[in-house]
Amino acid sequence: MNQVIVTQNLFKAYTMGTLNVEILKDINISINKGEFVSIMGPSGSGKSTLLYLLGGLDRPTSGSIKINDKELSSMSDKAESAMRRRDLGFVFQFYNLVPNLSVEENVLLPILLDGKKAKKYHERLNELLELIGLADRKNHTPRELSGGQQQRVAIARALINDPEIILADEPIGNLDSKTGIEVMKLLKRINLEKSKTIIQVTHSSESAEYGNRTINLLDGRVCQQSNEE
Amino acid sequence: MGLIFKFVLKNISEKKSRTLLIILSILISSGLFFSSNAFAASISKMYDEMLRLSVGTSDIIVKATMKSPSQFFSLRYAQDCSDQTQYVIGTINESADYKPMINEQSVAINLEGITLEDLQTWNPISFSATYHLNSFVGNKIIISQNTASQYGLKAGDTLDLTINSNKQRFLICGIANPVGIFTDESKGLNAIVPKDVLGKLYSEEGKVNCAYVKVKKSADLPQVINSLSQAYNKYDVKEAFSPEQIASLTNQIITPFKLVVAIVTFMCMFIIYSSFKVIIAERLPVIGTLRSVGATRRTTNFILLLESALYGAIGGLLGCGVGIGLLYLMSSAISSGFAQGAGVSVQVNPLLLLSTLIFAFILCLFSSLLPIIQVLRIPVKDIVLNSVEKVKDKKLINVVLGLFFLTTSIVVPKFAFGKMAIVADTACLVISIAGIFLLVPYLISWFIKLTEGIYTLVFGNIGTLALKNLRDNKSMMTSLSLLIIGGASLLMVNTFCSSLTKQLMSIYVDYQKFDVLIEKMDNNVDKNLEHLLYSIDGVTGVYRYFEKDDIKITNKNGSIATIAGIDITKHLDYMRIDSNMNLTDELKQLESERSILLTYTLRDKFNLKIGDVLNLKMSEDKGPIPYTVIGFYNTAESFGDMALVSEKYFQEDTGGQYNARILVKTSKNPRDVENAIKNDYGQYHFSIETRQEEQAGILHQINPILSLLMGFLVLAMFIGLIGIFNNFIIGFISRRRSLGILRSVGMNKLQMMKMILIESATVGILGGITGVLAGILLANNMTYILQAISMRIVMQYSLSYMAASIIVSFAVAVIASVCPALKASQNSIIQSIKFE
Ligand SMILES: Nc1ncnc2c1ncn2[C@@H]1O[C@H](COP(=O)(O)OP(=O)(O)O)[C@@H](O)[C@H]1O
Ligand SMILES: [Mg+2]
Repeated sequence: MNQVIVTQNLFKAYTMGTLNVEILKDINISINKGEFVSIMGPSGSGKSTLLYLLGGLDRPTSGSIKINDKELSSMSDKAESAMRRRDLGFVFQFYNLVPNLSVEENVLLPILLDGKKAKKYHERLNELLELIGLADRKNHTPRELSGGQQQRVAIARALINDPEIILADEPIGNLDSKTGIEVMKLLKRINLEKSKTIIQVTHSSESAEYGNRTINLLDGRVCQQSNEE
Repeated sequence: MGLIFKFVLKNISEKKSRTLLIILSILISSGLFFSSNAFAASISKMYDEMLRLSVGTSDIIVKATMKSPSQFFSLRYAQDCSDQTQYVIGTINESADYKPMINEQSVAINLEGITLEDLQTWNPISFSATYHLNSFVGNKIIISQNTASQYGLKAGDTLDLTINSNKQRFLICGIANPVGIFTDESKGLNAIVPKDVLGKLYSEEGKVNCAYVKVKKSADLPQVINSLSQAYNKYDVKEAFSPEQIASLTNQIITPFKLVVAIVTFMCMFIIYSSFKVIIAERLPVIGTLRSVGATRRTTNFILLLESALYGAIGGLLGCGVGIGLLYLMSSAISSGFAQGAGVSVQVNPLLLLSTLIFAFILCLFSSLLPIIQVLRIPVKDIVLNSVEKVKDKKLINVVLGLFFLTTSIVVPKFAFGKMAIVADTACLVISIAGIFLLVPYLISWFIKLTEGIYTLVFGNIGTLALKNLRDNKSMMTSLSLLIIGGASLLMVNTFCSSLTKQLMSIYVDYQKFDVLIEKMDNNVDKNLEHLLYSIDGVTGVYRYFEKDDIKITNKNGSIATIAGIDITKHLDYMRIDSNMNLTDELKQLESERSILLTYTLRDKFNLKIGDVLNLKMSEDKGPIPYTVIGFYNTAESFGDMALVSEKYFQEDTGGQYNARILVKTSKNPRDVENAIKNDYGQYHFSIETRQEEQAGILHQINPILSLLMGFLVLAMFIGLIGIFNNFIIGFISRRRSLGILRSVGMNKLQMMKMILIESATVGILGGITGVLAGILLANNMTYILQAISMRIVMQYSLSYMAASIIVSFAVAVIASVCPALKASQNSIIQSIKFE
């Protein structure tokens, strides 16, 4: 099986004043290509922290993370950034759109940063906007959108560069149940049709059901892994 | 109440750098406000003292003229108005020859014949040494320290003088300190002898040739002058010096300072205004909470106003201290050059301190009121729920208003004349800045629209992103505004200083076609001297003409600083005049009828055209005389406040009350010719200077003032710089999250730095270029303001200043943004994103 993400003895600690708080302790997981993995656990158990580490948005205290067989910590900032925009798509719990850019510009960000011509992605952009149902809103700014709409823009942004892996932190945590279901279906479809690897953090077992594997965290440790299929 | 006060104090102490910035702004603008006003008072007092050196405490001087039956007159006729006068003091002013050594050249000493009591009332002196001074009668003399040291004399020595061809031996009974008439001896030595001694030598005992009168009440002055003029109708009766003259001299020095203060104040108001916008945004949730628990609108407004008032109080108090310090610095800076002789007194006027405090308060409250009013408009519900929509600043009304302000400030000064001109022109200067500030947001959006394609082409997608970040970015707009006003005032003051220096120097280089100037001659000497000078080796040409200062135009409610009575056949050989007209006919016309050529400055000041008639008060004894305006010209002399009439009518109408000037052309080194003239004709009293000497003297006088002006500007730039840096840092803090998001979707550090550099370079260059344009606008406005106070300065814009202005603006913006950007790139992405 093709392993896209592998962690070994991963630790993450924060120093708060004199206190050293270990958030993640000895995490060893591997994720295969095309998997749809849900990371679950109670609030504060370190799920988001783990996902940030996998996406290279934060540095581990110790241990290794390999993405497509490349060790993250040995990558240059340039290479790591390039990987973030080409190979990874990140969807945050709180959308994280750039407020002064329009919907269209937000979605195109990874393309623009890659130095590619935005025009060439016109079709793909429209396709994605169609997919998330915001084709008529592309010139609006994030402030003019509802939470669910913003989350869908964030998903479109994660998909625009056609990355191998999508990391989503509670993608439907702030959405109403109807929109939530739509977003989950969207992710599932991408997973199945384009065979993208998806890792989502969630605390709802319903949304975990869209995935095919669950990793449970408790107090910063992996306590249980289960295959739902 | 106590609680509110505590809350406000806590707010103030929380954000240290912002508090510092606000207080610094108030401190500097109120400090400059205080020092410029106090400096004006000192300068005016200094001029007063300088003019009083020769006229003492008197208000009126009576002197003989060429038309007088005798040089001497009796004081008896002055008794008619003794009710209104405090004193009438008569002196005999004559000159004596002193031969220090048998074989040496004699020097002239100006003798003031006066009794010791009169001297101490009229123009008091003090002594460094005395010898039997108690009875100041007979052949006794008081000399200056300067004379004493120059010729090795001391109290008790004797001194041989030739007076009216009589050799006389005097006993030196006092060495006077350099005060009163002894203060400035650069133009000749002075000495005091008893009045009777001179009276006897001239066989005019009991008479005087000069009378000084002081009135009891200054309101009586015109009346006393009037009755004295009647009593001494063949003599020259005039005010010792006019307050208007002092005011006008003071204005010419102080106005540039006041303009800088006005601009600095505007800049500080802008800094306070933008800081308060941030403060209020921060306080809004607290205000909402307070409102929801029942605080009235008045209470919440009070909280905000109290904060502003506290800043005003602290800044104002510190500003007073800084202002006093600055005043001392300024006074000592000019006392060596400009104020030579007369000491510059430093006076801290309590009333001015109070006005400074009030100024600081008003400045602060006014600047903070605008954002507070904006809060007032927000419905309580929105404040309480903290759901305030960001107020859109971009309104059409701003463009319209901005453009209106700009056009007004360009157009109005062209049409503002007379007394209102200075007010109108200054108002225009201020609204031109306001106009620019209103237009800044549009400037950015127009610029973005115009250059988007170019930026993408040159800098790639990062360039596009950088431009997009400038869009609607508050802190960038504030920085841009500060860069513009900073650059503009830098350019304005620099251009003014260099233009002024160039213009003053051009008088010598371009306008004066002679080498040596002789002026301040004794009465009647000039005509002889003119002929005698030809005998001096190296003299190739001599031209004598006449000037009279401060001539009132009775039908225009104003005056002309200098009118010259010229010989139309010779004048142009010695002085250049520029005109759009060919003036040949006009010069002839000067001879054939009472007509006058005026400078363009005066034309604009009094709104004149050819054919207008000016009623000129050419002499004290006669009424105004009509002169017809026949043409206009330009000159660098007298800052363009000048007019020409023909010698013929000038002589007739002034009745001999004028100054003669003799211009000499040389074929040899002017210094040698000057010395030869001094040697051969030193017995006559006159002041003589080569052009180089006067040029050097002028530079020596104005350089300290220009340096002070630059000093004011540096302070202003300092506060502007802090404002810009603070603003860039605030901008970065508020963008930290956005930058984190960009990094999270794959922007690398290099790209981020590039983006930030492009942004700040754009703001820097845009600010620089707009600043230069604004600077030209301000300097242009300044020209009009100066014209309104009779200073015609042609602003000479130098490309290197403009380039420097743009480069400085660019450098400031880049440096101010690179530091926070470097720091931002060290943050972990997720920390930045979580940051709120
Ligand atoms: N920057 C930080 N400094 C200190 N503690 C942190 C920081 N970020 C997160 N934590 C702590 O780490 C723990 C795990 O956080 P997180 O990964 O967000 O949990 P989850 O997503 O599972 O709810 C929490 O207890 C949180 O307080
Ligand atoms: Mg979380």
